[in-house]
Amino acid sequence: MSATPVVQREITDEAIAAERIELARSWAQARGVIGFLSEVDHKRIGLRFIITALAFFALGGVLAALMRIQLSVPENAFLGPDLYNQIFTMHGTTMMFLFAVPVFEGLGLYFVPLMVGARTIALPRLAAFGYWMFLFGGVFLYVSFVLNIGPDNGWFSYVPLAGPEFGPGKRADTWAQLITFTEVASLVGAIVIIVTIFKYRRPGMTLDRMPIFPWAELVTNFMIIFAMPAVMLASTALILDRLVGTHFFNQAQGGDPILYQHLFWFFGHPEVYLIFLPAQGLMSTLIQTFSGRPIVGYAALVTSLVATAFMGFGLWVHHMFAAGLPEIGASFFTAASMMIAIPSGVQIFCWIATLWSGKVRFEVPLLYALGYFAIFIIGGMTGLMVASVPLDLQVHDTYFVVAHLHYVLIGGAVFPLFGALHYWFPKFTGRMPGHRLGMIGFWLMFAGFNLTFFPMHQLGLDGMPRRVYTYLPGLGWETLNLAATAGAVAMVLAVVSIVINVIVSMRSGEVAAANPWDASTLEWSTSSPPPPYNFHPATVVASRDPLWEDPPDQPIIDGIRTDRREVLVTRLLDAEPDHRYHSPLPNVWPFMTALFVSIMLIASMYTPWAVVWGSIPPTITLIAWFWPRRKEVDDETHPVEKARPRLDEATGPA
Amino acid sequence: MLYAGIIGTPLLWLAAVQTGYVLAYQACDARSTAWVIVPTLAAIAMVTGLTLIAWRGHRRAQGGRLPLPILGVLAVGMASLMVIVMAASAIAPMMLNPCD
Amino acid sequence: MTTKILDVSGLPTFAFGHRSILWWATMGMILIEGTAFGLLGASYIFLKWRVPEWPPGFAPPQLVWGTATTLVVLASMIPNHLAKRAAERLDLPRTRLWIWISVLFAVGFLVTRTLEFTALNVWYDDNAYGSIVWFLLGTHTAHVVTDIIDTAVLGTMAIAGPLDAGRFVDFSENAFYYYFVVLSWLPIYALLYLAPRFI
Repeated sequence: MSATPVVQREITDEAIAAERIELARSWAQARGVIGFLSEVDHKRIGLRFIITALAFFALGGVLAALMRIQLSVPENAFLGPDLYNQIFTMHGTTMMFLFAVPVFEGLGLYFVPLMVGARTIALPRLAAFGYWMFLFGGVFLYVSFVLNIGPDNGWFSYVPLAGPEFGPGKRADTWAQLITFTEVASLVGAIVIIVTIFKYRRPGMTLDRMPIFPWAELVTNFMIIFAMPAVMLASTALILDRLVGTHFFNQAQGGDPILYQHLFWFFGHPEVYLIFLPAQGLMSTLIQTFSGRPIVGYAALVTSLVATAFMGFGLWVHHMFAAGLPEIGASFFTAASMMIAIPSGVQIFCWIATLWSGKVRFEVPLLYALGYFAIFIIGGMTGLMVASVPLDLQVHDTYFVVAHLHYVLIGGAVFPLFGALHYWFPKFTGRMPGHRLGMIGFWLMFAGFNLTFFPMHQLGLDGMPRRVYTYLPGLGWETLNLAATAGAVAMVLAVVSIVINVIVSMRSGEVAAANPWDASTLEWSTSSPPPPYNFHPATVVASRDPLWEDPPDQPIIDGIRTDRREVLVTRLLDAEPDHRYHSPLPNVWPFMTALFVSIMLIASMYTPWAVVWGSIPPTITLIAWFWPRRKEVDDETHPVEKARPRLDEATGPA
Repeated sequence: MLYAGIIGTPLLWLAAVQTGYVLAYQACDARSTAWVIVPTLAAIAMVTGLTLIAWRGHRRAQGGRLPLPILGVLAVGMASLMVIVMAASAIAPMMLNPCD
Repeated sequence: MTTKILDVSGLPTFAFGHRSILWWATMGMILIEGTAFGLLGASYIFLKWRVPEWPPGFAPPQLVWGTATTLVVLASMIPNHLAKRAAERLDLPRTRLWIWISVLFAVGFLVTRTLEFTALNVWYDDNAYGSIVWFLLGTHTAHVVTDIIDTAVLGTMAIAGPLDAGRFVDFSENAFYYYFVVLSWLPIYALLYLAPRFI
């Protein structure tokens, strides 16, 4: 590694101002339609992910509201059985694939570089490609729904119901291809975030000092890498069975539907944790800031995140307890499902200790975090109940499971997410979110949520099955269903009040300072919203909470060129400076590639040959994407002879 | 040595879960839960061994020979948790009949 | 006023191996695709496990072309390695030479692979065994085709494109990825050709 000396030098405010002007030019965000499609700024891509995912959340919410209207009274004729099947499938698919995973991917793309003190993300064009795939996939799903080819076999699309024999038409194909879209988007996003965390951390930010949210994103994205291929295989094999006559899941020809379940849940269970873990990172962030003290048990929290991630891969069979597997085999998964409460519990105790010993400020984001405690812990408790085989068999496919999973996912992920969006609102927009409407939104959400889902525990124990479009009067389910529908109305009102708060605050909210909540992490060290180049000047990090604990005379990082998009690449463990790197410029080809890949995927639902001819255009656009432009060539190593003297520094271990 | 704890113990646990799951069929055929219990106990022994290795690595890291104390905590924490998890998975096979 | 400055202007603008961004991106792809291959292999074993006879109702694939592929693919690691080494020495003429020789080998690989498909003794729509065999072989072939295109584009870049040191990192990482394409073949070969005969 080269020596990177700390020197004493004069640096004037005028010089910094001049550098900022040059940086603003080098990192200028693109303009116009082509510019919009070419964007590689991580904040814009992240925000697009977040906004698009929230739009799908709203759509999924509307579908949920329709279901609640249908179920509010017995023998209701508001929705027919066929439409109801489509709606609950669309609701689950939307919330899992188009909302929960992408929204945390978006938060990661926006905040990971800011929290680790980087200028941008690694591989920004790949992130842009991921966004367009996600958007096109979501639009494809909803257009299909409108055209009456929306999926209708549940969000896990089990065979044989979704297989060629019992699932005629295109509906299950739509589901299978949607999976390909969203998984491609998540997988490329995962690579981007992992590489950013590994190689773009600010000097001084050793892994030991990295904030918890980037840790959670790191762990989550590794889970994506190992989990998502399973569902891609499952959905590809499903579509092959349906379209070209393979027999992966055809019992009569040596296939096995249980294979589908294994592949699906090998993804599906980690999926729950990869929604939940980033939210755990958000919890730590919110609790630390609003307790006004460093988080208690940093190492324990990190260990819990990593442990949860590993254990998440050893639980999947607990979704298949009713499939007739040997009990001894199942008992391993029961044990693991119960033991995963340990790392979750450790985190919760760390947070309680932080709150206990801090100076707590009851701002809206913290209320959402406290809402997590109430809701998620109930969900965790019912999780322990259904982890045991006899209890699971009793409540399998009843509303008890619906209650459980919503307590886990809404309590464990949506509440921290809303808290975090509130918390980071000033960073996104430069204005403070309104307090009063925020409080109204929170309380409506909290009350509405519990009113909707708590009665479902009882409904499930009373024997009401999931995924039924109506029920007969006189079974004792009427009152609780009506209560649940009333709760859903409150949740809709909560979302409306939050949207109004966003609009009002963006227009007339108080202008936000760089660090309005007095937080400790680096995203608050730059203006709100941050400039395209994120930070200038940047100082070396000396602690876990740089804005609270770093000494004022930390060295300034200098020597990164300002006349082009240059970033500093650091070493994985200790974040020592390693080399300078030229970050890619905006480029329309990721968009074009996503467009052509989408065309290929959709066409392949109608003819398998589309995979052959359809892959030619994306190949061409990919070449255009990677082909070096003159202006992107590194003038310090072009012609390449100029690089030869530096070869020793560039090879070998750093 | 630390990676024995951070990566080794959870991978060993995942392998043990898979093995136990597959051997459950064998246990029924042979009418003996020993098919499941013995490999599980062996895996517990191995995880415990890895935990001790991780512990030694952690002690060394505290001695300042490694740059990042967090990796030591991670290794020991993960390894100890895996010992508990493995022990928990050994309980049920001891109580169940082979063909349950 | 004077301040403490961490001056990084002396650092190089490129680095090879695990120090580079691209190495980690490639590693990410390898982990994703390795997981996919692993799960495909597990699916193969799962399907095998649930029937008494394997392959069910068909003769195992003929050894000749599969083995020929394996030999070609192993041989192709040599030019690939030489291309990687030349790239890491910024040696343009040798990089060009060995990249194109690697492409030739990969094309040869594709020829034997095509013949392999004709010698499987089963069609993908015959039964689940046929489906998983074709799926495994097809997925691996897709990797080979992609890699040929990648390598040929980089080979063209090495001749036509404006070259800076970053391109040589690309050449090196492309070769690194090819190792994965080769090494992932060996367990698949064992599964498709050896397992039905010897297990």
